[in-house]
Amino acid sequence: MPTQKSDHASELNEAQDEQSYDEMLINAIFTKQVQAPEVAGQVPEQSAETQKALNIYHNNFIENGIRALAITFPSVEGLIGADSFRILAKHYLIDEPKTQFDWGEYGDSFSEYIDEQEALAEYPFLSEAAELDWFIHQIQRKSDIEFQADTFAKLETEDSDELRFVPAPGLSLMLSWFPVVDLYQLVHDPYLQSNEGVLARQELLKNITKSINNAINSEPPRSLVMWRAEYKTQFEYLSDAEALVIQKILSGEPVSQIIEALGEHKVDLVTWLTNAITKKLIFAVEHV
Amino acid sequence: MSSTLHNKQANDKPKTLIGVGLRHSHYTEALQNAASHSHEVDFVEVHAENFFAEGGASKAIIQDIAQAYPLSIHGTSLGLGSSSRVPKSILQKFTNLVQLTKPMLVSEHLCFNRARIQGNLVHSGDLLPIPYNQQSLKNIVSHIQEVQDNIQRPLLIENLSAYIHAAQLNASTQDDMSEFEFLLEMCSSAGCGLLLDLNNLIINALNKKTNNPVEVLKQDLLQLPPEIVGEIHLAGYTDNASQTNDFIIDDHGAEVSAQCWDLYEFAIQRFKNTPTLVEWDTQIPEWSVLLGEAKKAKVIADGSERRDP
Repeated sequence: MPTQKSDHASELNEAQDEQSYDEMLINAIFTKQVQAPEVAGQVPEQSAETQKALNIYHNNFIENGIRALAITFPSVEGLIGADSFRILAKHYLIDEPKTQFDWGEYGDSFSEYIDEQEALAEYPFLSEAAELDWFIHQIQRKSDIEFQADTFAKLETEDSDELRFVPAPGLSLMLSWFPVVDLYQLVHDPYLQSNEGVLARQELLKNITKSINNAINSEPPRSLVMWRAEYKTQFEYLSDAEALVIQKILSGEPVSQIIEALGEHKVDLVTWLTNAITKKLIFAVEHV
Repeated sequence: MSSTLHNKQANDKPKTLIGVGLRHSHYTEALQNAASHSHEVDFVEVHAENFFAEGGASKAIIQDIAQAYPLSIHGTSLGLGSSSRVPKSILQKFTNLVQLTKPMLVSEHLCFNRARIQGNLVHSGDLLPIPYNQQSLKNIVSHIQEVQDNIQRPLLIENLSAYIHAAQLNASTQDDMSEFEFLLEMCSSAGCGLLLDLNNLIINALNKKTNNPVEVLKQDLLQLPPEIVGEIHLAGYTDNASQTNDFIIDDHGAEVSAQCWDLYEFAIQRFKNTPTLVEWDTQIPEWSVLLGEAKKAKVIADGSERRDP
C-alpha cells in the first residue's frame, strides 16, 4: 500500500514532468520561499545540495536586482536609507518578475509599486521621487540628436504651418504634487551633505516639510519638464502655459500652433524661444 | 550561413596579449592612462549590456574606450542556451555595439537565462547552466549561429561555473556527454571558439570536492585542441566556504587565486599566445592593483614564450 509520502512524491514528479528544467530553475529563482523539488531517487544529502544551489541562484538574483535598482533609483535609496531600500527592492523583485534583458530597463512600475505599499505611508513623496529617478535614468539612455542651431533661421523665412520643433532627447513632462526637485537636491547635492552645508540643509528640509504638508492638503500639482541637453538629464518646474507648449512640441504640432498657444497665455515668443534654445529644450526646426 | 572561427581574421590569436576587465570605477583612470600613452594593458574587456543605451554618456564612453584600447566585448545577457531565441531588439543592440566598436574579441557564455512562467518570459539576469545533451547542443548551436550571422564574425563561448546540474531538478533531463565533449561539439558545429575561464573550472572542481583539482584540470585541458581556445579568463574568489562546507561562489571578488595561476602556467603553454584577461567584478580594487595582476599574467605568458623550442 503506498504511503502518503510516496503519493506526495509521485504528485511532485508528475508536476516536474510538466515543467522543463529551465522553467523549474527560473521558477525557483523568482519564488519567495525557494524550495528544492523532490526528485525521484535523490537521497536527502542530494536534496540539500540542490537546496543550497537554488539559494545561491535566488540570492544572486536578489543581490543583482538590488544593485541595479539602486543605480536606477538613487534618490529613493537616499531618502529611505540603504537598509529599507534593500527590503523594498527585494519585495519588488519577487512581485514584479523581470522580463527585460537589461537591468537598466527594469523598474518601470517601481513608482506605482511604492505607492501601493502601506508600510511606506510615512513617505508619501517617495513614489514621485521614484518617478523622477526613472525619468532621469531613461532620458540618459535616449538616442543622441544633433543640435542644429542654423535650422532656427527657418522661422524667419518659412511658413510656420509647415515647420515644427525637434524636441531634446527624452523631453518629457511629469506632474508633481510633492517637492521632488528639492528632495532630489537633498539627496544628491554634495554641499548639503557636507559640514559646511548643515544650515542650508536645515533650511531646505524646512521648505520640504512645508511643501509636503501643502501637497497633502491638496495643493494643485506642478509641471516638471525633463530633458537631456548634453549627457546629464536636466529638470525644472514650468508654468502651466509653458507645460502646454512643451506638450504641443511633444505632439509634433506645427510652430504656428506653438506661437498661438504662447500668445493665448501672454507668453513672449522671443523670450520663450531664446530660453528654449539656450537651454536646449529644442534641438532644431524641421519641416512637418 | 555562419562564418567559422578558422576562416575569419577577427579572432585570430595575436602574441600573448594581456588585458583586464574594465569596470565603471576605472573608466577615468584607464582613459587618462591611454591619453598619456602609458598603456599598461594590451586590451580591455567590457560587458556589452553596460553599453546597450541608444545614446548619452555611456555611448560616448565606449567610443572613447574603443579608441584608446583594443577591445573585447563580453556579452552577459543573451542566454544563448535558452529555449527561446534572442529577441531581435536585443540582438540588434549587441550587433550595433560590435559594429560601433569593432572589437578584437566578442564573447558570450555557455548558459541560459530565461524561461516562461505563467505565460511570461522571465529573465533571471544570471548565467544558468544548461544540460550537456544533444537537445541543448542543437539549441545553443542555432542561437550562436544566429548571433554570428548578425555580427558577421565568430563568437567565443565561455565555460560556466555552476552550482547545479539539470538532473537535480528534473530527473528526465540527463547529461549525455561531459562538459568538454559538449564544448568541442558546440565549437565544431557552430564555428565558434572557446573562452576558457580557468577560475570557473577551478570553482566547479572545488565545489565537487575534487582531489588535487589543478592536476585533474591540467589533464582535462589536454582534451581541448589548442586552436579552439580564443581567450583565457583568470580570476579569484572570496573563500568563505571552506569553513562552512558551502559552495564557493564565483564572485570575481579577489586577486587571482594561486590555483588559477598554477593552471594558467600550464594552459598558456598548451594554448600558446592566447589573449588573457584578468577579471575582478566585486570588491573592485584600485586600478593599480588590477594592473599588478595583469603584470603577473604577463610574466607567466612571457616565461611560456621563452620556453618555446
